[in-house]
Amino acid sequence: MNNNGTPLEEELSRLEEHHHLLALKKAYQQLEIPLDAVDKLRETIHEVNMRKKRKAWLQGSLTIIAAACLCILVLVNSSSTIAQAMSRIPGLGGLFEAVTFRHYENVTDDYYAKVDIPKIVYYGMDESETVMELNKEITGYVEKLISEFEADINEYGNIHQGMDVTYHVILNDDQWFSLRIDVFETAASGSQSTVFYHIDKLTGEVIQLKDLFIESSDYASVISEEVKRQMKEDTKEGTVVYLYEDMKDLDDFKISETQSFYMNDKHEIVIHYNDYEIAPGSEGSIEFVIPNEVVKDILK
Amino acid sequence: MSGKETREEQCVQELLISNYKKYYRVAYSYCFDPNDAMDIVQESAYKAIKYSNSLKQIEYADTWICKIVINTAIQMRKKKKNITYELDESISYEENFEQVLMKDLVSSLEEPERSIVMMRFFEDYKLEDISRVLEMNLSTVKSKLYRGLRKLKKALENKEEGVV
Repeated sequence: MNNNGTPLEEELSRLEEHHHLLALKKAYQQLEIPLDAVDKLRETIHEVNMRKKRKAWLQGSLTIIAAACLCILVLVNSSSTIAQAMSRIPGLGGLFEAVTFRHYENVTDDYYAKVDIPKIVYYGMDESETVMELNKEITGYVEKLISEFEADINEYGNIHQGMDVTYHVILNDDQWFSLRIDVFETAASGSQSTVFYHIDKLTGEVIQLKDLFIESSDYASVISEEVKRQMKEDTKEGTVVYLYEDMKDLDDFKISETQSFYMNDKHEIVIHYNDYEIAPGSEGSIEFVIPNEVVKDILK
Repeated sequence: MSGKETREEQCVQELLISNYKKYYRVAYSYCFDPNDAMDIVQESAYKAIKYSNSLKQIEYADTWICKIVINTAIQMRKKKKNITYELDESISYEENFEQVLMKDLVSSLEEPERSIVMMRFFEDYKLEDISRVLEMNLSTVKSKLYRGLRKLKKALENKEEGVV
């Protein structure tokens, strides 16, 4: 740091030279590293490379199976070139993670709130507009919950009120990154609401339900029919009580464009409804797993 | 069979082998356990190589890997929330690095101050690289660094004077 820097820079220089901190830094740098660390690391690197080679080979061999055997060498080379070229496009594949952007806590005997605001981190060097916008939306959403909570406390004071906001990454594979945010509120009775955010790693864009289906298909009807079918069955067996007293009302039932959904680990679409949306609060949140059989013809 | 490694993959691999001590130290300063630190480094190595195509500018590769290590360490810490550390107050701070670092860094610094202090002060990464990789303004990075170091200094001074 040069001496003609701003006051902050000068302060920083001075701090970094401070003897306490330097002693700490020295002790830190003398930290012992396990003797086998580098060998273990080499093993890991080797393992990753083996997997990558196997994957590239597999991508090549699938083309071989479809084509004549004489073309083997050419096909393997061209698919690996394509694979390499594709890997340079920003947003293709890529490492996504969710970290806690901010933790908010407000706990007393009368009320409590514990909130983790997530931030999606994308490890590409190019800024992802999508990720930035999404993070803004997420932060806005959760901070609004916090300010509503605080407004309620100010207005009602001693009402026993609680709010828990947590997040989980529920899917993070080669194609999808899915973040789930759960808001659990207890005022008189507990209520939970969940939102999902999905990013398509191949395009770098947010995924909505309609994006999964062929454009000309009427996915909304197909899925709505399946949901209706399951609701009728649940009602018949008495396993779940829905808000539709008369099964005739169900005729008008249709999922919305912004329907909340996610993919489970079997890659099935799961339609999600929060408390009170289609059933009494006592039922909690409701989910419908859409079997692949039902949608396989209209999936992209 | 595609045996060709991309430039980025090669660079990442070379950095992992030549700088592994640095990454281990950073990981250790979050978890304070040699096995966990190794796990963090290995998992980070795996991620760094697998996603090396995300790396557009090789100049930032080292800092980029460090960021992965820190985030992986933080995630592991969340999973192991219930571990508490026993502090031995009788040992003077110059001798017992782990405990000082533990108490002072862990309790007084929040993210992103902590990452910034780790990367800049303890491991000497360039401020410009840190601001690129953490996607923050350079001035923000500087002011957080300043705040973090000041807190550290204060905590160390208090410890020396016997203030708890």
